[in-house]
Amino acid sequence: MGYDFTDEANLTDDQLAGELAKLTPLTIDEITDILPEKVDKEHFKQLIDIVRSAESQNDKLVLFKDNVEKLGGVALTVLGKLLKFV
Amino acid sequence: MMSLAIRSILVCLLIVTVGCVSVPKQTVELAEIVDSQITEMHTSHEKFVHLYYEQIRNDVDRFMEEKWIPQFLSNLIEGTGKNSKQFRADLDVAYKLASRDWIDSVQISGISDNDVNKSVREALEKLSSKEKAKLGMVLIDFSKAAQEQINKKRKSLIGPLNEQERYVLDQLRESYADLQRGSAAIKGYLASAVKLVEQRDEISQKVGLLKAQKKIITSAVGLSDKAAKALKTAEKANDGISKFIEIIGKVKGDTNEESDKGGVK
Repeated sequence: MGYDFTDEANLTDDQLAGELAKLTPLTIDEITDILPEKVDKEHFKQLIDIVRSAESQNDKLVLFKDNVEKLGGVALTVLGKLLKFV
Repeated sequence: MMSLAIRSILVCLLIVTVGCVSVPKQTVELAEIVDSQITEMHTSHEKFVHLYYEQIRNDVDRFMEEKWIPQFLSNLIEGTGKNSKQFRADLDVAYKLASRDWIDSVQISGISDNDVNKSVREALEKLSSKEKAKLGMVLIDFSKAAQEQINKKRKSLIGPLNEQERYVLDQLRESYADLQRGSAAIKGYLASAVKLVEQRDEISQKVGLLKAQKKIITSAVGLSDKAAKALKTAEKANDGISKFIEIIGKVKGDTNEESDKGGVK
């Protein structure tokens, strides 16, 4: 047999249109207004890279000092040679 | 022990790099607190979003149960549409045939032959059973078709809500991820700066001490030379001894003064 009650469902929607409208989720504009503003991805990445590069420089200097303490004279010789080129 | 030259170079490097910046260890601790608070805020924010959409989903279910389904079933029973009219007709016929007392209707009591009577009774019982099954099938078909529309309606209301919830959560996740990446970079930088400043301070202190020691020795050697010269050039022995004692006293005084300045004991 099999029935298709689509027409009756549509009729029900029409009858309850006012109440159905209240159940509609937020609009795209409302969502955009609520959500945090996006950062400029490119600029953000550049900033992160700069800060990480500075961190890396600091780490290298710390490591350098540790190595100098460990190697003593050898490091001094290397440093001396390096400084001649500067 | 690290030589003075290396220390001087290091100090220069560290001072040039770090300058006079002060980076207390607590900045790293503070950055860690900020980092963990970002995670806490993210979790809290997500919970609020889930609760908000769960509330709307509950509203939808309540609306379906209290308003939409009763109105829909009422429309079906009234037979306003083509299919519901057909259903009503099928239902009415099936109900009429299923509820009929066939044995009474046919009046088999008038059949005197027992065998014929028994055979007709069995046939009528089968017919009654078949009509009742037909009524059941009409009701099952009705239930399936009605349930299909109810599910479809609920899906049409819940689907966009779920989709929007996912979108909002994705956007929040992305923003918090950016925030955490930025915070991690700042924290990492601060930790490295703290280490560097600690090293600068440590080396500065050591080099400061060495400089003071060197100054004391240089001063002592210079004064000792003067004392020796005084002894050599003195015309009278007593004058020479007096001058020598005076210079040595000065050496002692200057040495103590340098020690106090440089903090060398």
